[in-house]
Amino acid sequence: MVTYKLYYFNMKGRGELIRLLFAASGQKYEDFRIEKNDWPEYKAKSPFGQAPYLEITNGKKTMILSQSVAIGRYLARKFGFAGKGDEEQAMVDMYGDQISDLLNEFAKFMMEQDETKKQEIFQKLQNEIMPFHMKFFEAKLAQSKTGFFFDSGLTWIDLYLFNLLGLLGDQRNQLFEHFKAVKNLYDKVSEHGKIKAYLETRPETAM
Amino acid sequence: MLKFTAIAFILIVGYSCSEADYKLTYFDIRGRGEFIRFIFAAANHKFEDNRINPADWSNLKASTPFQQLPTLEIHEDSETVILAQSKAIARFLADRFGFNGENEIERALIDMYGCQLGDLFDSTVGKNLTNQQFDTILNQNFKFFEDRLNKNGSGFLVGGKISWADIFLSQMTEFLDKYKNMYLDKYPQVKALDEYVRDLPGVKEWIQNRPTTPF
Repeated sequence: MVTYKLYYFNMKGRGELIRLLFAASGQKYEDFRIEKNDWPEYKAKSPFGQAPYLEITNGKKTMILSQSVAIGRYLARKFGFAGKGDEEQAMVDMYGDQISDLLNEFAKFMMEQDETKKQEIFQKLQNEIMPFHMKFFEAKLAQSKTGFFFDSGLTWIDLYLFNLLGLLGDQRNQLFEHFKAVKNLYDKVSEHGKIKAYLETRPETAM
Repeated sequence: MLKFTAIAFILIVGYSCSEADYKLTYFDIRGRGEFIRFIFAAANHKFEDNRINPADWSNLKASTPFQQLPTLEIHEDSETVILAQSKAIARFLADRFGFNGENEIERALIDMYGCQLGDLFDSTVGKNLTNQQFDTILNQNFKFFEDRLNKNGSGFLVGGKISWADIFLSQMTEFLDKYKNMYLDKYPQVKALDEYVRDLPGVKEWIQNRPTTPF
């Protein structure tokens, strides 16, 4: 039997995609949340000195995976959320990497300490970067018969974008006014049986 | 007699089914596209190396998935799919050419190293960092890869054969320019892997014949 242990901080951030995948699949796992003070100890265990990382134990063998999206893709394939067929999986991948680019832009904003620079980045994010990326997602989602990115059903990128929108907090409402299909996706994921149950019980964190 | 005819029919039909044609579109630079060119080279698979002028880019932009390059056009069985995002392209080709591990776990580990290399590219190539900052990030990352190569023991990052992560790592060492030897001399396993990749017949030929570009 395979067991999973996720190591990440007590936040959504880059770890939540993985938690959402476990939730959607119903697969049990240990959701270990690292205290900030304990980080150096766990940092040393992780492949690249970063979190999240996932410990996968199969009998006597343990493997550690890092890079949130590599973990996401691996679990998605295992649980059937990767898309159907090579070409669709590649397209799912493509959108996933694009969402990563957007998340990285958002992360720059979150990590900026200088207040003036932070404001500048925020303006750029809100006025240029977010709309630029959302346009593509809106176009794809608007074509969908299921409301998810792909007609074959829920894939990991639906959860990935859902999480990113969650990180925006109330700002996302402004975005939703211009991007209806994106809003529809957000609502659809929120209402998805197993995800809804997870959302109701997960720890409340700002980020 | 009938059985022979049936088999002959299948062979003929099978033989005439066309393989995919690939067209990689990128600027006339190495940048984010070169490691994909290396993948084709390592696989000895032909592709159209479509290099576009910056002047023509604005016209082309709207036809790309995310208004960015590189893109890969896959023409197969009279259908065309256009892929963007260099790593998504790499993964797809790696699956086709056998550069994506032997099983799901290997595939995931290769993905992990590929993502880390993508992060390394994003944080260093063309970025305005101080020498100190470059040095720190580069050494940190090379150490990860060196440790992994030592642990894995096969000369490759994952499993027993070459993967797109190995190819990506090797190609990226080009961005070190004149500092390449200075760094790689400290990381012998990485250096050996780089030499291995560049010695592959297809890659060797590609490097000899490719356009010379500053970046």
